[in-house]
Amino acid sequence: MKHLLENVHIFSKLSDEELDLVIGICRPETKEPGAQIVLQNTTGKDMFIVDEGSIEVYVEVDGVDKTIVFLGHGQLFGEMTLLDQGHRSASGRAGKGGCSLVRMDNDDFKALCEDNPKIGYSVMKHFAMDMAFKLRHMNLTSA
Amino acid sequence: MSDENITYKISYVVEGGGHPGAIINSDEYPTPGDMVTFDGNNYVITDVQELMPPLGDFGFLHASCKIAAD
Repeated sequence: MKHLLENVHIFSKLSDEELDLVIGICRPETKEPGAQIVLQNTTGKDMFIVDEGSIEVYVEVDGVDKTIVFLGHGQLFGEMTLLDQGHRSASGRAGKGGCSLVRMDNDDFKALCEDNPKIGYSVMKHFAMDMAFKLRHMNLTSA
Repeated sequence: MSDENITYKISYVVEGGGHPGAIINSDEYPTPGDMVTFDGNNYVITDVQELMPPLGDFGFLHASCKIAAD
């Protein structure tokens, strides 16, 4: 799991010891193709990191599912609820080949960051860059 | 920019529009002609550009691609 976390941008500046602390709150899961992971407009307290395969991220528009991106290895999903405690802004399901992912409870993650301010600072700084990258991707695909 | 210690965060955009594309991290720098798989399909990369300046051990790339012929 350490190699996966080293490939996740928000954890890229953490030491081996700090990564071990993050690994301590990670729960690996495997999803069959099409398996629902989260639903739009519901509450949730987990975020996810894709290891293998992909998550199809989609929103419902006039009763029709519209895919907005496929997230593959090393990508965060569901992290917005960590930041704003709001409802899920999009749904996610395993891609056609299924996926393996890591689930992190937001309360555990917040506690880890509060107990280790260096981890918290680094993660929050890189969250912003991660979201900027996603926005740039969305701009490119909607051009 | 290509270095064995860099992780590349890659925005894949499918040529022609109408496809949401994908974001995938890779230890390998993508080059035109390489294949990538997402959405259950194989795509061939046609162009690679830097999307954001590199930061630390991460590079941020935009790759155009098109669905591969069978």
